[in-house]
Amino acid sequence: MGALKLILLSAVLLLAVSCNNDLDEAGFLYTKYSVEERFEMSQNWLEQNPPVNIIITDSTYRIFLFADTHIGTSMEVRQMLNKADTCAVAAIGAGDVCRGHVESYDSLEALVNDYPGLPIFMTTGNHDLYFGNWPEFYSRFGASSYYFSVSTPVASDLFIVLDSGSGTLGGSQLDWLTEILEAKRHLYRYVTITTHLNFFRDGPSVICGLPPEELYSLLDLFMEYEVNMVVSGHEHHRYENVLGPTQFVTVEALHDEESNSSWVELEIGNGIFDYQFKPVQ
Amino acid sequence: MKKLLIIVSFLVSAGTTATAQFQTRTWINSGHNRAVGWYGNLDLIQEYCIDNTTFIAGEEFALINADNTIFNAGMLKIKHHVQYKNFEIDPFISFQYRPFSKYIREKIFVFGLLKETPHWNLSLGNFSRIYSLSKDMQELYPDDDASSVKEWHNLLYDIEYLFQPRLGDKKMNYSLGVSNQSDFLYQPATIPMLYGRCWTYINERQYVFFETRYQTAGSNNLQADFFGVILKGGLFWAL
Repeated sequence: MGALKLILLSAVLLLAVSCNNDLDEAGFLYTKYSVEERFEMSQNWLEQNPPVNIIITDSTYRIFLFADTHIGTSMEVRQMLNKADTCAVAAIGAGDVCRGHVESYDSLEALVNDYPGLPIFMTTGNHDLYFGNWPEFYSRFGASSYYFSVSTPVASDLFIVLDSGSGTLGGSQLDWLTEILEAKRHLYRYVTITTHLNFFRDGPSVICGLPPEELYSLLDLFMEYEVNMVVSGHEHHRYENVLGPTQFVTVEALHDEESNSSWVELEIGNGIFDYQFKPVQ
Repeated sequence: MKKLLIIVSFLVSAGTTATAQFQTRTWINSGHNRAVGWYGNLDLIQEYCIDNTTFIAGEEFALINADNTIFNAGMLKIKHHVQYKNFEIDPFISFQYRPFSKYIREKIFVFGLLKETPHWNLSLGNFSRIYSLSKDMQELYPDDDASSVKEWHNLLYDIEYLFQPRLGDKKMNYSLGVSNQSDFLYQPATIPMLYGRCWTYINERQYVFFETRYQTAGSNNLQADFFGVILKGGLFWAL
């Protein structure tokens, strides 16, 4: 009888949560487009769209990194993009950029189009995949796993963007990441990886992370190839951890409905690899 | 050595009861998203019980696709049975060491409570996960901040229902459960594994078991993607 009450209580709680039309309950159990399918589509897209190389004449530059904008509304992300448009070479969104609805994608696309001079790179988080709407992301922004580079007169730096919206990179994407690092790491000065899921947390959480077995492989890979920085979002909470050569940063949500919003400004130059959290004013 | 002999002599003379158990578990773990296609491991676990206290040591060896070395992980655990009037419970503490990379080690510290009833096994606790650099890497990155990452608080749970009462005729039993931990694998609380077990006694002292577990990646607050299935089989031998 006690077990029955518990089940009924859980059902009521689930229904209460379901009243939030931003949640895709089916996602608790499966992904309509698996990470393997998304990766294959991303690879197809990359065959037609070779990696971007941003060439700049200054030896020092800035890249802005943000996550969890959950568009909807976009006041805070506009504040960040307005600044990035004046002083950064690019901005990278670490997933959950919108809420998965078609209207959210419309708003996001309109926002991106308002900054034609600023390269804005993005990947998917779980919310971007809700309601089976990965094709909306793909048709408007293309691949969710890819890399680009920034070349200065002194050196070039590599930026790898990964899709972890289903709670895993998947075997194929992990193999691809390994191949990229193996083939290209020595050609670049610094390597920064951006993905949605955060790697570490300090405290109990109801939010999912990567399976430990996959984390083992990734941590080993980051050590092997001396990845300089891994930036993620997902938890809407700031975490900063260092393990060997790698700085792990989890950035707070840049979301109008939340306090403590911030983004990360990464400054890179000759002997400079420094980041700062910038709170929304 | 003399001290140990004195302690053993004292325990024997004090009329303690001691039992020992040896367990082997061989398992394979596969799924379409795995970093390594599939794993095959051999677990060896030794239990030694003196009165109400059980000392457990375990080792996991990689048979196929080792993460790093053939020695996957080692574990030490102490469990103590407590009885207060009619209420019985087993507090436990545990430590696990996993050198999963030539650069990084994982250390896990666990404490929790186990409650057994004729039909249920219920565990609840906390585990702290620490990733630390190997000695060679610590020399390369001597900064204290860069030498380890500590996750102090992680919920540990295991809820298992036994279809036949535990103290039945000792022939065959089977169960269903949900947990974020399986022998040497500790997953975040938000990535539960569903599992089923079946075991049957060969004789008074030995029984064999089969276990299967279903793993997802994601699930809570995520688009869950299939991750893997664990198949285990093994022998328990009470000495």
